[in-house]
Amino acid sequence: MHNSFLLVLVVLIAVGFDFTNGFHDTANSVAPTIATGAMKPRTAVLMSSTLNIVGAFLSLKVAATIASGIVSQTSIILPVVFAGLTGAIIWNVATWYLGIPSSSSHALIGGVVGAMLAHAGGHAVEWSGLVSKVLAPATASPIFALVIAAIATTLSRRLTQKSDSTTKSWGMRTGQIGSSALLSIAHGTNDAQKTMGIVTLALVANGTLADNAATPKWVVVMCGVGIGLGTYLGGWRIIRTMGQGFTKLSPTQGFAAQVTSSVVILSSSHFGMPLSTTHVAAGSILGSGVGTKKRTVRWAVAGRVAVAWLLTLPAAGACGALSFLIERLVGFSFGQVLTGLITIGFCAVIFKLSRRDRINAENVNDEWGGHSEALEHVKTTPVVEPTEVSA
Amino acid sequence: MSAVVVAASGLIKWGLLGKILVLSAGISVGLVVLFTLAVNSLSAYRREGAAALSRTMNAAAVALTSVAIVATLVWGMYYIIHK
Repeated sequence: MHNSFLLVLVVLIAVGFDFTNGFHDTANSVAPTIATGAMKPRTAVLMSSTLNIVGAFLSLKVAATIASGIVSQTSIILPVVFAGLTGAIIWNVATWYLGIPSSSSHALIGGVVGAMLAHAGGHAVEWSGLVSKVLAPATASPIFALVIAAIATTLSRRLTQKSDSTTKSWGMRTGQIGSSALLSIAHGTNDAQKTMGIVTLALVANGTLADNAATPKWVVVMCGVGIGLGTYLGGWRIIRTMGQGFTKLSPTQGFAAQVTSSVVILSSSHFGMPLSTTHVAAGSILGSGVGTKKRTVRWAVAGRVAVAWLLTLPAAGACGALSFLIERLVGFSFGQVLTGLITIGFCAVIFKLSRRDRINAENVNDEWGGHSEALEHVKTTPVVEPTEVSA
Repeated sequence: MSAVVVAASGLIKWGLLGKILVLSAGISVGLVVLFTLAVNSLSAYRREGAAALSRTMNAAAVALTSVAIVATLVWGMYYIIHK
């Protein structure tokens, strides 16, 4: 099938998703670094953005197929991919507005599964793959990260009881910069390749590339720059939730959380079961709160985030299915333009709404519950300040 | 409910999840403890009035733990590139 128009639309919407993936996931790498003052907010996102781009160029070994083992690869057509991407973008933007860290990968899988259900029915979805590759890891990863970060924080806290607080703060903050850098590179490598896979799949499905062709260089550059730009420009609302909402982070907690996130993500990739960076990072931060002497965690905020995680697959799936049905109803070419415009319109409305309670580099570290609160209507439990002295 | 759990248990790779948990816990906790020891040694090294031998020992401990941490980071980078 050769349809350059549809192909261009898929590539454009894929870059759009890549961008939202970047700004949605900035918090995973830098939220603790910013919250503890290890780096200035803009410096932290600039570093993360640059390293995400570097990460995108480091490896191209991730399978160039989207939702492999979850939906029937033979039933995938360009409009399904397009509809899946619009579903993922809508969910990413909505959760960003609410300051909720949810998984971009799960949003994408949900969107594609929803569009596939609308296109070919339930038999085209591999439900066992959905359980083993998405649902089980999604449940296990935050629990793993929480437990490990809690142990690491407890040990570190006890071992440094006699250290002078200035050296401790300086040391832990320096460690945070290193772990944040590692996490940013790992994120760029994993997540930029996700979009590269989609674009490559679209090129193959359109007959532009041969079946086993390598990912073209322009695709690598485009996806690397897309995720890097998203990482630099956005994410303050989620950074605030991750850095201030779950718990009040000290440098010791931040370091333990970031090391845990990096190691869990790399270990799971090593065993061929990549986990959601967002779930792992959120679990680690919660665990670092549990590891403090007074177990200071705002469980109300964590509960709200957990509900959003449960809703990610069905909500993105519903958006993806609706998008596909619209495309089919009005014809795929015009339908893709229409759903693309609806998605852009939705993003514009959300962006406009977000200006009312703007969160940026200047107020991202304000006390939780203060002005410009993304989650202000959530009743939170006051958290006692950590005893560690901030240098 | 139990039928759902039994059905799902066949699909979930418990062994693999267990390996990830054990490996992640070992490396994460190990790295954090190693780094904490480096910070402790640095703190002791900077302490005023410490004996010369004690300062030398602490400096050596800082150097050793730092080398171990840098080696782990280099391994992490190598792994990201060559996985």
